[in-house]
Amino acid sequence: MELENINPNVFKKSDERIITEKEWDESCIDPIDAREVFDLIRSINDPEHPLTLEELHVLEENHITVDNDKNEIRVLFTPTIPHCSMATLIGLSIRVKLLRSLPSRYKISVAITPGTHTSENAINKQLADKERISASLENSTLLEVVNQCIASRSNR
Amino acid sequence: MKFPWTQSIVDVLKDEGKVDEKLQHVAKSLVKKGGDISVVVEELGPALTHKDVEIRLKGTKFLSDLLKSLPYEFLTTDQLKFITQFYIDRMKDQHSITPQVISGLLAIVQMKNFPSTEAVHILSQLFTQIPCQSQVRNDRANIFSIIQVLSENHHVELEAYGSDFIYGVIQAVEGERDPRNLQFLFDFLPRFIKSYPLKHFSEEMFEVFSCYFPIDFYPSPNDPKAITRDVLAEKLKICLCASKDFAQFCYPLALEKLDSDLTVAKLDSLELLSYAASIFEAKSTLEHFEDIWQALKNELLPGSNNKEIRAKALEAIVSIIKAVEHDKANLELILSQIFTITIGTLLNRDSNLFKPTLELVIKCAEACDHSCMYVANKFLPITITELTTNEEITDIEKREVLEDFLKILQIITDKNILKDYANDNYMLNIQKQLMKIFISPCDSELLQSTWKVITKLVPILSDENRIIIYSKLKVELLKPSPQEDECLLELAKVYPNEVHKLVLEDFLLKNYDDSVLAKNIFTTLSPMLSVAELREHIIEVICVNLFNNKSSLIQLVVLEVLREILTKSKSPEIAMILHTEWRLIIKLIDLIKNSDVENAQKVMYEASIVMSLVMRTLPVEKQMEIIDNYLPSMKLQSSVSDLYVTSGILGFLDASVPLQGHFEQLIDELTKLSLTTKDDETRKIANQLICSLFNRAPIDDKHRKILDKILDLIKDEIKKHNHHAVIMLGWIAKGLLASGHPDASTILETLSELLDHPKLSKAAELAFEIISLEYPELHLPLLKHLFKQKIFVLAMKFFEGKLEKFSDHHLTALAHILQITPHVVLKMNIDKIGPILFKCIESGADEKDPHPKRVLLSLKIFNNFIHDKHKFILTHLQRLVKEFLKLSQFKQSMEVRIVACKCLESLTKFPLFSLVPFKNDVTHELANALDDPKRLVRNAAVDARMAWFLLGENEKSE
Repeated sequence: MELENINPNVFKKSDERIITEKEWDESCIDPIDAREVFDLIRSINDPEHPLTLEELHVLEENHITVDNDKNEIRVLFTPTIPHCSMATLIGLSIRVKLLRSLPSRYKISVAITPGTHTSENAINKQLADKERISASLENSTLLEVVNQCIASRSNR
Repeated sequence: MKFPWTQSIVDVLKDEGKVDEKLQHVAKSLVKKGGDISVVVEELGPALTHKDVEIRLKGTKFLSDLLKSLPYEFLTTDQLKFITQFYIDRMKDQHSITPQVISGLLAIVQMKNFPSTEAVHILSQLFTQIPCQSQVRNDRANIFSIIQVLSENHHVELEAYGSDFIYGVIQAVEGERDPRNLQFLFDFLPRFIKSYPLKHFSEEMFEVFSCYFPIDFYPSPNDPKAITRDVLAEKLKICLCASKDFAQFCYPLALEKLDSDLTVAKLDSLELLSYAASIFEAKSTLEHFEDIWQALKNELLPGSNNKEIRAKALEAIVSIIKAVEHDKANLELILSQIFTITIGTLLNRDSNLFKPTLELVIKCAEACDHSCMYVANKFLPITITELTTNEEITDIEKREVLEDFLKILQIITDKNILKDYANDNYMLNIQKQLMKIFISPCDSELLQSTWKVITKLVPILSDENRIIIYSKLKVELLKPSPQEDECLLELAKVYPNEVHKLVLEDFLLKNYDDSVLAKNIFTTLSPMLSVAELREHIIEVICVNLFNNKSSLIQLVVLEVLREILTKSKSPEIAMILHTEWRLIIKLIDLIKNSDVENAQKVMYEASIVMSLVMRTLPVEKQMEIIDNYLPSMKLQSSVSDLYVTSGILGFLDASVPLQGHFEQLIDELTKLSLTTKDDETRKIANQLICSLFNRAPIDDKHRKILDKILDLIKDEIKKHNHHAVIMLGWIAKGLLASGHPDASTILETLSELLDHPKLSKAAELAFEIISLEYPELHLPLLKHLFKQKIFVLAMKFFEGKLEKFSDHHLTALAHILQITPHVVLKMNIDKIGPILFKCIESGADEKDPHPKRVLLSLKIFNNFIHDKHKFILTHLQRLVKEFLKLSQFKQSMEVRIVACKCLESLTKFPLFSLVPFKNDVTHELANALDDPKRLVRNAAVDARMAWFLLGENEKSE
């Protein structure tokens, strides 16, 4: 397979979240925040390169919004090039990883950062369609590819 | 000599059963009576020339076996000549005789008097008459042994035999397939090649080895003494580099196989390259360097993801550089080739080749002194360029540049050539840039990196830059700043007087009143105690603030710093100086005695710890002197400060210091104190002292009597339901168990009985916890080998058979004991402890009466077993999964929830088929833990749930 983006820019990984004393305190409640959501998905592998979405700046912490009152989580991702054909797959991987790792009370939306992809609307529509997401996961080949992107336990 | 039998020889040979017996007989009588072997051969004549092949075979076998059983110096040269000739004639016989001929020859050539003249004879016939590779495995092995024995013992004759000999050997070994024979050959042939010049056969000989490369061999799984692939590969590598004539073939071979897609082939080739470069002459390596570099470049830039391949490729480069270490011109030639490719990348930090290139360059620098200088000369200008020419460089980028520079700097320091750069313009320029960073406001992490670089540059810092750094450090001293402290320490080592005058002066000889400030300053000062020039000033300021300062907060700060430096420093020097020159112990005793018990108990405690740390380093006589001076006047029951002084003196006393005179009185007073005092802190110290004292007590009548007396006292107290007595009993048991005292088991039994006691069971549980916990400030001079195993065995003895009747207290006590038991011991007793562990977690998770501590301990033990992939886990998988899932929502303790999730995650390492039935349950149930109020639990739950979702995924991709 020919690579679309042969030499992508690689960025530095952010440090591990520092564990505060408060987090060991039984009586405190730690609400889910943007950083936590970011930590869940930053180690997803890019389908093309042996790099993580964080290193390619596809995902950034400030593009994630968490609203605990309305139980909403919104993730924007930025494809490395505007005509990236992998964008749907990346979006799907992010969605699946979040579906498996977040409490079911949240409504999760995954979309492309506005203005960074040529067929932004089409992809956003696909990613927002629950039926299509669950249908695509019935496809065992596709599921395998998604699992491989998500399976990055060595990085965690 | 006549054969000692009546039948004809042919008949004897036909009768299988008797042959062995006869053989022994003949051999014995030959040796005893000094008979002649030729007579035996003649006697055997009819059998050896019989027209039936079977008989001839048996005859030859008889003779060969006879030869093998004779002592090795028994036969004379003439006899051996005769038999050799006989065997050579036998070679022409039918092929089924050949194995016996070979084994007979092997016996002959090992004889002491074997004539050298026959060596060539045997070999020339062997090579022409017997095609080695058509024989079976064992016979081939025998032929190789013959060659080995002859080549090692008859060097002169065989060398004269010349190229025919080499050719014969090549023919014999070529195409060998058996791993055992190969192992033998790979060991033998390098020695052979070293002692016999190969002449024009070097290529042929190389071909013999090269066809095995890279070794592709898997031992049969049923072979108990299997030869592994790696062993063969390692030996083959040596063979491939056995002669310096091999160089011209070896490099092309390695490069050809490096091109393969197989990881094993790549690794072996790289290994071979490294080894070849270290063995062959530098000249031959240089001839091939261009090709080698091309190939290695492909592996490294950008290279594969396989870390092993990368590491081996780098190793190969290092090995080549080391080979030309002393040939400066060629070394530079090699390095310039490497740098023509890499320098462009090094200037472009954004390229994804940058990281691997930097790694390569750093490895080059590590290889030898010259290469380090070469790399530094290239790298310094790059660093300057990065720092200066780019106007828009961000702090983060600057930091990365400095971190990379630090790596090179570290190598320069390690190679001890930093001094050569004292007046280097680039270095001075870099220093200037560092100073600029200091002056301008910037990111704190960049500052940290800058300090790291400066710390390394200390020996070559220019005078004016040092002044800037000193003024900067003076400000930093007021804040907690480990990196800056390290830099100051390095500076103090090189320029002690400057540091004293320009940095420290204002901080010395001062009475502090702000405890935070004092803490920062003393943490900075204390490591500099190791600098002799500054020591006096620092100790002075410490003493002023410890003894003349009335604020207990400041005293506490100083004591904590002292404690840290005494615990950390490995050399007893500082402690010795503190004692001899500054009489610290005596001053501390005064300090404790004059402290106010109400307000300064913490100070007294810290002071006693510092005291004991100083005591620990003193020689035995000094320790005894202090004991005799101070112990007798202590009134432990009436004065708390006396208790602290005693604890300071006895805390870390050497095991060899005798206490006889004081022991009884000490124990007496301490027990009374422990039973009566109302202050928990005092009781703890008294109990720890009792524990330490009983631990060091020798096992004799006198000390046993004292122990009995105390135990009687405790029993009386227990009757009065005094739970302090039970706790004290726990401490005594701890000390005695560690030293392996015979009475320890009775005490442990008493404690386990107390677990049933209606009122004291809780205290008994605590006593078990005391036995299991480790206290850093508790000194147990005598630690018996395997005492933890002993505790486990004893505990099991008292608890065994009561599993059904176990109360909660029993389970908790046992969980504490299991926690300290080494994992190996638990593994051996899994059948016994398994049910207990289950009971621990099942009953401990009870909603109404939960026992978080016990559940946590048992879960951790389970996790260890899961990591071992123990089959106990596999047989109880269903029950475990159910329990873990329940505990992942254990309300009372987040730690339990986390460990339960971790257990579930580790379970996924078990075989797929055993896990699949639970997959749905686990992923479904764990969804609840994803909404846990604690983030750490959520993280663990996410990891566990993902692992279960991805079951089998890894196997597929592999």
